[in-house]
Parts: sequence; C-alpha cells; structure tokens
Amino acid sequence: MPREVEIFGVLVPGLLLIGLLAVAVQYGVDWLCSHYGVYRHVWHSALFRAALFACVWGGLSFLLIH
Amino acid sequence: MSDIANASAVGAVSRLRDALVDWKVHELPRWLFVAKTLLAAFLALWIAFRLGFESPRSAMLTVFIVALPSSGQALEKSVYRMIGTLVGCIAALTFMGLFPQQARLLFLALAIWAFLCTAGAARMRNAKSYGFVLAGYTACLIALPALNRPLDIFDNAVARVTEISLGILCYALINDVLFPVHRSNLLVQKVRALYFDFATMCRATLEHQLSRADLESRHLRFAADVAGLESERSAAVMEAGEIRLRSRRLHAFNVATMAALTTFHTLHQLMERMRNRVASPIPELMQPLFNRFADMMLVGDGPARTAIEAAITRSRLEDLLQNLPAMIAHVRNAYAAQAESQQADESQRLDLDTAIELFERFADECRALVAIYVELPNNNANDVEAKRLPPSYSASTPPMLSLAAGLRNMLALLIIAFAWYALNWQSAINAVLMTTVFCGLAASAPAPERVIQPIMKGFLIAAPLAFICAFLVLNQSEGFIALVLGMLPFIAIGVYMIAVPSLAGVGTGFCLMFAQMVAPENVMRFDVSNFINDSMAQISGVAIAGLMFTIILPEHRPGSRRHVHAALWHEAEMACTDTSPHLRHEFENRMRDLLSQLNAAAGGFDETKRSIVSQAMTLLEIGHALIALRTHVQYVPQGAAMTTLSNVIDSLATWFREPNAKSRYATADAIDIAISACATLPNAQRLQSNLHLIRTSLLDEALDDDPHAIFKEMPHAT
Repeated sequence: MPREVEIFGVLVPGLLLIGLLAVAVQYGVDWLCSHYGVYRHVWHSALFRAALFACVWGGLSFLLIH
Repeated sequence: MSDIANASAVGAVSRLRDALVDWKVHELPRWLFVAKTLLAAFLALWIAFRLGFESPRSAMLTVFIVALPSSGQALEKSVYRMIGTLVGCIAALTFMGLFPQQARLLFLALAIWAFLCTAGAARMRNAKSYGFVLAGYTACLIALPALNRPLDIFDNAVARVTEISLGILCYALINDVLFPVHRSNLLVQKVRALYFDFATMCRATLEHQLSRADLESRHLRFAADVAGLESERSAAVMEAGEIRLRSRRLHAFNVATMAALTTFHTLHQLMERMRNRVASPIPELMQPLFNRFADMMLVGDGPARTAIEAAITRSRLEDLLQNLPAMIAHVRNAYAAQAESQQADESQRLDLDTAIELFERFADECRALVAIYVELPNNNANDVEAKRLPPSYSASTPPMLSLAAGLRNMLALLIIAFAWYALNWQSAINAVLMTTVFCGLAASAPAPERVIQPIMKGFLIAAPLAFICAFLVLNQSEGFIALVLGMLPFIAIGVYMIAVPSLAGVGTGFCLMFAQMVAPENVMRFDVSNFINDSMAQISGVAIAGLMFTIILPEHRPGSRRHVHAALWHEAEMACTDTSPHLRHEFENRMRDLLSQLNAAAGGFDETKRSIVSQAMTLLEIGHALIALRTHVQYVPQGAAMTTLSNVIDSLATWFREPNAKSRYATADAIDIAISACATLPNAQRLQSNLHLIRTSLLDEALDDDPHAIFKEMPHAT
C-alpha cells in the first residue's frame, strides 16, 4: 500500500486507512477477549486494550506499508 | 497534666486521621481527575503544536468537553462527538458546494440543518443526542468562517476533524490507562438498590403500609431508576471487562423489573377497588397468599441485598410456586363455601378469577426477575443469551416537543446570523456558534435555564481570568513549558469545578471560554481589541440562547406536563391498533419513559403531577390487559362473540382519542356485552378476566374527572 491513497481526488494518508482497519480488527479481538474472559486474567484491562490496539495498528502498518 | 496533654494529642491525631480519610474519599478522586484531564489536555496541545495544526486549542477544548469522571461515559461521549463531527463536516461541505458565496441561502440551509439536528437531539435525550448537537454545530462552525473564502472550507473541515480526534484520543488514552474509574461498580450498586426497593415496596404494599399517593411517587421513582440503569448500561458497555458479557442480562433484568412492577400494580389496584367496594370477601381470602409471598421475600430481616442472598429467595420462591396450585385451590374452595351461604355474584367470581390470574402471573414474573438477578454475577450463564430479548428501552420525547426545540434553534440561528451579516461585526460569528451550541445542548434538558445559567457563570468568570492569563502572564513566557505553567493554575480551577457535581456546569463553561480566549497557538497573537470583541460575542451568544428558551415556545420543553399527559393517552390508543410483535414491552417502555420525563421535569410532586401519574398507572393497567386481550382475540372464531370483542377494542380506541364520560360508559357497556357473549368460547376464562380487568380499571376513580380538566383549572400548571 502506498503512503498516500487518492480517494475522490483527496489524498488520504495510508496510515489513516490502516487505522480504520485496525479499529475494525480491534473490535473483533476485543469482543473475543471479553467473551472468553481474557480480561479477568489481565491486571489492567484498559492498558491492555490500549496496548493491544497499538500492536494491531503497528503490526498492520508494518505488514501493509512498504 | 500529662494525661490531659496525651488525651488532647490523641484527639488531634484521630481528628487528623478523620480529616485524611475524608480527604481520601472525597477529594483525592477529584484531584486525580484534575491531574488526568490536565495531562491529557496538555498532551493534546503539545502534539498539536508539534504537528503544526491550525488551531491547537480545539484539541485542548475537546479534552475538556469529553472530560467525564468515568471512562465508560467519556468513551461514549467521545464516540458520539466523533460521529457528530464527521456528519457535520459532510453537511458543511455539501451546503458550501450548493450555495458558494450565497450568504442568505447558506444561512437558510444551515438553519434547516440545525432544525433537524436539534429536533433529533431533543428526541433522544441520551448520549446520542450529543452526536446530533455536534452535527448541527459543526456544520455552522465549518461553513460560516468560510463564507467569503469558499476554497478554504475543505482545509477547515480536515483541520477540525483532525483536532477533535486528537483530543479524543489523548483523553481516552490517559483516562483509561491512568487510574481508570469504572462505571461497572456503580452499576452493581444500582441493580442491588433497584431490586431492594422493588422487594421493599412489594412487601409494604402486600401488608398495607403504603398510601396511594406514596405508591404513585414510588412508581415515578422506579421509572427514573429504570431509565437511569439503562443509560448507565449503555455507557458501561464501552468499558473493558466483564460488564459487556452481562449487558444482555442487565437488559433482561430491566425488562423483568418493569413487567413485574406493572403486574403487581394492577393486582394491587384490583384489590384496593374490591376493598373499597362494599363487602367483597375476596381481599380477605387472598390475604394469606399475600402474607406467604411477603414472608418469602425476606432474607434475614429485609429483602435480598446481593445476588447471593437472592439465591435464597429464589429457592424459597420455587417452593412457594410448587405449593401455589394447592393454595389457590384452597382459596377457591373457601370462596365456594362462602358463596353458597350468600347470594353468588357473577362479577365477584370474575374478580376472584382475575385476582388469581394476576397473582400467578406476578409470582411467575418475580421468579424470572429473581433468577436473572441471581445469574447476574455468574459469567457462564447462557440462559438469557439464548433467548431473543425485546427491544431495549429507548428514550424518546413526544414529537411536538422535539419539533419545538428544532424550531427554536432554527429561528435563533436565523436571527443572529442575519444580525451578524447586517451588523458587519466580525466577532459576532462566535455568538452565532455559541447560540447554536447551547440551543442544541439544552434542548433535551427538562429545565434549559439550569443548563445555560451555570455555563453563563463560567463564561463570565473565565473572561477576566483569561485576560489576565493572556496579557499579563503568557506574554512574558517563552516555550511550551512556560505556556503550560502559565495556564495550569487557571485551568486547574476550571477542571476541579467540573469534578464537583454542583459546579460541573460552571466548570465546563469556564474551561470552554478560557481555552477559547487564551487561544494558545504556535505564533501567539496578543490582540486586546480582538479579545474583548470575541469574549463579548461569546457571552452574548450564550445569553441569546438562554433568551430564546424563554421567548420561543417556552412551555414546550421535555417533561412538559400537558405534552406528557397527551402522549400517555396517545400511547394507550396505540395499544389498541399497533401490531408490533413486541407491543407489550414497547408499550411498557414508552409509558415508563414518559413517566421518567415527568419525574425529571421541574416542580415537586404536587396535585397535578399526582393525578397525571395516577392516570398513567391506570392507563398502563388497561393497556396491558388490552394487549393480552388482543392476543387472545386472535384465536376467537368469526361470529357474534368476535363482533362484540372488536367492538370493545374500537370503543376503547375512541375513548383514548377523545376521553369523555359518554364514550367511557359506552365502553363499559360494550365490555359487559362482550363478557356475556364470550362465555361459551374455549378460552373464555382468559378473555373474561382481561375484559373484567379493563372494566374495573376503566371505572377507576383516577379517570373520574374529565382527563383534560387537570389543565383547565390551572392554566400555569404546565
């Protein structure tokens, strides 16, 4: 994926699009985590969630942007 | 001597300890909140400076706006702020594309947009309404400054969205990661309190310790509690953790509580009416049943306080339900024995049937309620998940009221925008924006002046302080650290006020005004005349918003008694005609929602309010019996009995539409005919007991006066 993507004549940073994708992925992972009670075994669930999102976004960007 | 000195030293130490504990309980959370908010605000500001954003203050302002004590609430507000901003941007771009450099047309388009958004905000009355306000306000915020420079609008829109999202992300991160305050614990307490109050009320009523007025005020409070629980639930879902697993069960708990409350009220009213009528033996016959039930609800010396205690109630309730058929047979036998000695009366037999059916239903609903309560803390329970739940409680204001709110905002926007245009006073654009914001924000409040006045105070306090900060402190500072140190003491005061519930509005106003006026930017501009112009415009904008609420349709506010009353009768009429599969729950939700609006409205529990609540409760009984009747009517074959039944439903609808004595007695007669006509049908007992219930409720004293006469006597009672 290029650094900037053109949508209807507007240059949108690729990171933003990946960020949106990451939000969607995070939503699913979050649902799974709470459904299987992962948060019960985590000391600081909010921090865990924030860190998880950073990992998802960072990981996706790393994989998709060259 | 040393003893006295010792004693006083011990006293001083214990006093000091008390003071410390007190500080820890009340003050520490507030200061933590202040620290977190300031950290988030300056973090947002720093990032905005670093990335060279156009107006870094918007990012900081956003932090102050979404700064709510619990992380669930803050996240919920953030999400709706984000959605509202995006929608507003799209609207602004569209309007600008349609009417470039056409100020009048643009104002009209924005006014219509504001009308739609504010009407939506007033209709919702929850976190969603904030999204609507934002959509309306953002469109103005982006389109108006670009009036003469249409090409800038796209940059404005991008800048606005970027800054808002930056502020939201900073606050969400700091608030959620550092010492998070979770709503879930509070939710647990609310659930416990709701069950405890419910059980206490049932016991007190079954043992005749409550007057009718007392009972009605409690029902009004229950309506508010259920609404509160539902809004807490929607905020708590945003938090991490187990609360989301329980969300469906909490919803089921709410639904079950409402159902049990209504059935219980109906049963109680039926009993009261029989007691007031001459010498009905039934209340006395039923009393042992009620006593058994009241005893069963006790765990120790009161009702269950926790889910663990509720498990005891559940097992005792199961026992009671097993014995119930035998107990009911006993009551029936006793009645038959009495009826032989006296002359048997058809209506009395129906009374007994109806009372027993209601009691059975109530016991069953109680079992469902207690079962859900017991399962609430249990993470592996899937029983509720498996079932399809009825739609969740949603707040909605009567349509006339939300249209009035929209109209008010539209007129306000038009007046002040054209004034801005004609006066050629540059700064008046701030007034336009402020008026739009606060007309929208206060639209869903039952008392708009209580929203606007504190904000106004905050603005007035902040203006001179912002002046001092900008022109005496910041003009001597250099670099980001000095900027932060210069603003810190002022903003800390404002944020601390947000944390104190009674000063929250003043604090929000203060922070908004302060951040707006000090306007930290990469290249600071110190322009005294501009400062005075802008602050005057902002303050007058809020004042005009307040004025609009007193001038334009001042009586049309959420919780207006006349409108709630009319809406209650309209809902009852809908119960006759609506064909939704979840009609029973929707009807219940809407009636309770109207009651909770009435409860939130200004004014004490006076005579007018009391009679509205008492009519509402009677309408609720009739509506439920009617809905039950309609489900049974489906199985009745075409014929004479069917005609009489549909006659009953039609004449009830007529009566709900135009309540007067004539149609009321006509309905009662129609019910009498239907009761005797359906005696031979296979499901006669259910039909008859529902018809009988409608008939007794219909003749209740609460509906004796002409329902609309409540307002004729007191023209100012709205």
